Amino acid sequence: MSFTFSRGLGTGTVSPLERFFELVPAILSWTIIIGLLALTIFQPVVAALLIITFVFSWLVRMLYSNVMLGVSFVRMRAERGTDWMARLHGMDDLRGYVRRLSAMDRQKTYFDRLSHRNHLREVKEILKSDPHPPSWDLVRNVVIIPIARESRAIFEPGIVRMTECSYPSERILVILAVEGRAADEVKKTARVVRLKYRRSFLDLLVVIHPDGVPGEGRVKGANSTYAAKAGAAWLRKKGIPLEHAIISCFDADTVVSHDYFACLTYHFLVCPDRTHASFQPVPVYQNNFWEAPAFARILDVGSSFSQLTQSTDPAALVTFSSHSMSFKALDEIGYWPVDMISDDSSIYWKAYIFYHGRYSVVPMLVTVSMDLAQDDNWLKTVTNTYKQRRRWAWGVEAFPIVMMAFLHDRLIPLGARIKQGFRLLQAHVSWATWPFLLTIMSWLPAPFIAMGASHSVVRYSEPRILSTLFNLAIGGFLLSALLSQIFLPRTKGKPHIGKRALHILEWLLVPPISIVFGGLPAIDAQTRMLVGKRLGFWVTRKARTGSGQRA
Amino acid sequence: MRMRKPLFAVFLALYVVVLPFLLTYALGYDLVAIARGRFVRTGGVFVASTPPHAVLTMDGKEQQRRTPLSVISLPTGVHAATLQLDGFRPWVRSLKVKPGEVTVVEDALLIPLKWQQKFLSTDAFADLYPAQLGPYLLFRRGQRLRDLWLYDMRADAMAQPTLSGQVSGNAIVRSLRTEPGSTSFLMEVTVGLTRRVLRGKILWPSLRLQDVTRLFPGPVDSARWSPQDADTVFVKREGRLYQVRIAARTTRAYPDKSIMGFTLEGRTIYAVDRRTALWKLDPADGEWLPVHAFDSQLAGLPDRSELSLSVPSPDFLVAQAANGQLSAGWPDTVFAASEVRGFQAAASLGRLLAWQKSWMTIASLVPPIDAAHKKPIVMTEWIPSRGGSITQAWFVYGVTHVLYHGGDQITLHAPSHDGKDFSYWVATAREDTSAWFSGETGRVYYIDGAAGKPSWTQVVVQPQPLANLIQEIRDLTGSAGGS
Repeated sequence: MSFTFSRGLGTGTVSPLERFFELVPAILSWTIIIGLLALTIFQPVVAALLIITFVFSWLVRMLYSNVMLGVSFVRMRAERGTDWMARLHGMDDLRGYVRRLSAMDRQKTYFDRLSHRNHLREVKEILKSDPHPPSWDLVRNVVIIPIARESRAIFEPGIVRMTECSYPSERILVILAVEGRAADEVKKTARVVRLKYRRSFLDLLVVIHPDGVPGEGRVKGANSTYAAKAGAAWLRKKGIPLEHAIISCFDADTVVSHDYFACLTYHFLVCPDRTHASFQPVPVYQNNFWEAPAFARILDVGSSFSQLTQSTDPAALVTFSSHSMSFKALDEIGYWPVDMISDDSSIYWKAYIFYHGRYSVVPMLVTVSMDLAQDDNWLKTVTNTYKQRRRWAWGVEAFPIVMMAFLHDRLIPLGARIKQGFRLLQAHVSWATWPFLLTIMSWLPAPFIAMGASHSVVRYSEPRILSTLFNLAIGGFLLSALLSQIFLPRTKGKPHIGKRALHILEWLLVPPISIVFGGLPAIDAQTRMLVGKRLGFWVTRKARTGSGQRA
Repeated sequence: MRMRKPLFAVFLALYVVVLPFLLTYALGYDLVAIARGRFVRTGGVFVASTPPHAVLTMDGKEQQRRTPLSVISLPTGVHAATLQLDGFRPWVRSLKVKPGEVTVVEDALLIPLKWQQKFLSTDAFADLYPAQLGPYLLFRRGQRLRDLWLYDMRADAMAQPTLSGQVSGNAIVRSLRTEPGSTSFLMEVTVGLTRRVLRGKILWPSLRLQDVTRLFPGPVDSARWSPQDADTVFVKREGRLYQVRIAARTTRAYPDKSIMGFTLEGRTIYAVDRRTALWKLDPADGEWLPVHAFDSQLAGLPDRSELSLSVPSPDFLVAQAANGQLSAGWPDTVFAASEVRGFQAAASLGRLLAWQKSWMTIASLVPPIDAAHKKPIVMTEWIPSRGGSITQAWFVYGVTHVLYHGGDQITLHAPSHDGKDFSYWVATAREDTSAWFSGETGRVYYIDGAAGKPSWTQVVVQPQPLANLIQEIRDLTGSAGGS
């Protein structure tokens, strides 16, 4: 099938229908905000009832998410001591391994039992598959590290960590994907790093992506695609089939956890449809956690939690940030979009549409750590973070393309198309509107009822109901704040109890943060798409003042 | 995850089941009745008190939260409400609750059980005038201008102010009136045989005086500030009204009309002429417009007789004649009250209080609440149990307060919110004791001789929330179908 996941589906012209889909998110978001504001002014009682309905739905959803978050934490805790390499070795003789696992004594702790039960279920399931998965020894991992202007201090720790992983680094092909427009110093540094580390890996390639290739945008996807194609050529040259390769596209600052590749390879092998799957770790932002401002910490803990919560529902999971996937799938679908900014989620949609819905994301409860957006001073960090969030929100550009593809692809079941389309739209509209509705607009109807000199009961009952609902929500926030303690990296040298305790108080910043770095950038991105002012790729500046912590 | 879908179903069910209850509760429906299959609409009350944090008891059930608070889901009908706060008299009301509505009591005013007293000065003074802004009191120790003293209540400091301005300290002070919301005052003084109007401003520890009548040759009967412009003074001279702009040093005469008294309300000037008709004038138009005729018996007074008008709210007027004849009413509507002979009057916020000093009888008049009956209603007639004389009467906290000398005591009398009378003994009266009661600042000043030496003492009453009371009166007069 010929399919280009790009604006105008690669034809260069945007149909009126696609343009209409580009307008939909912004129109919906603005309609909700302005409509509710107008309703607040002219029909405040109706607005108050709508607000109660909305806030209650938000609360129920939040409580549900908290339960799911708790479940994720339990599962993560259960796998904390897992020896993934032992599992990989065990799977070389799958039948015997299943027998041995089944005959094992009852595990001592709940977490061990949970881990064992899940593992046994997974290997039993894969035992039924035909053919059986290849030996882990045949699997190769390819890692792409895109570099635009990042210094050695940013990307080298990730490379060092890969050499220290439980998984043998000799089975990892690392590609430093350097932008051609990058400074010579950057290119030189990449070559120096190659010389230093190439013997630790299967190989370490430096691929310079030429600037200004026709049809490409100045986006990360173009660079990654160029590097991945070079990687595919390398694998073919070495006779390694792509279906035995897993490709991981990281950020320059990504530092994987000790067991990342072992865990990834395990999940790849136990996934029955492994060549139609992406593998999503939990992104955490701990490299410079304690050096970044409080708002950045809360934002990124929130992002990690959101990813953890979503990991409980693989059917709704979309790839985000650093992740891995089948190299065969990547090759078949034609690599990452080379003209779109949000390549991490776009690659999922591209694969989903290419395989007519037969594509999934497998959640992995291991972490990859990245840098928080940070700059030389607080104000620059705010600007930096805002731009980063707007870039993330620009992921809304996938909506019209997905909708156009859904309209034409009858092989994807109608129910799945409706469900996925609605999920995508709802995610972006709620991103842009909820912070405003929750923090500002929910309190407006009561004063407006009062201004209308009405003594309606709603004037008094609405604030009371909202207070109760928000008080219940505080319980949810408190749980998040406490759970976040598990994620926090250690501070260097000094005792960190005070900092950790202070971090709980930082959760009080959630309301303003949700507006400044949630609603505003999202509505900004959507409005840009509405008026046709497209966003250019902008590399988030990550200034690390110390060596930072690792995942 | 196997448990995700059942959990999702549980939360969805929670939402679907609870939301209708939330919405119907928000609209004022009785949840218990709904659970029984009946839709019964309830109402509520909102009570705010001054001071706040009082305990509200509704139908004998004490509410957990303190004022200001709202109580909703109350059955419709009449409910007994009581507010209680340590150190204050209970506030008792019957509140009517309508379906779907909240009965609002914006300001339940709690009256303190004990008033705070403050010793001011052992010096003997003839009179005192509290500035209406800032902590200053003007004392008068004698008849002359140089006998004016200043007292800073906050710093507890007394000072004989230096007088700035080209005014002789020998001028005899005939009257002094403080300006609402400022530290300024207007004085009428006599210099030799000339009567003058001075504008003063308290600039601790001095008084800045300005002779307004330098702009205005000839004798002056009375003067009043413009309520809109502190630089403008309206002056009555020989029955004619003039506007004086002090800074610009200009004087404007209004059309010839022989007026006996005038008052100002916003941009409008109300005046009573010799035939006791009420007129109003918009300074911009400069034309007198008839409002209503007073009682004709006020006619025939000498030209320089003073007729005072009190406009406590835009909807209510009181005119008091020099001969003790009183009229009250509402401009642009039927003039409602007249011929309250021999009474002195005070008015505050749309309510009129009249008392007969010698007979110790008091009548409280309020605007009509029934549009069809535009006559004031005599609310109470109060006779103190002991002999004495009423010194002053005023409204504080929206209720009548009467200061009277009875026997050897000065007592402040007021009805409580539960309809019962109560009295505060303020001081032991001696022959030379005089008391002064400021309804606007909520303070009683009296000469206290108990220390063996005459001294001025202050009893502080909590300042009343004027804005709320004004709104209350406007609502009241508005519902009466007044202007």
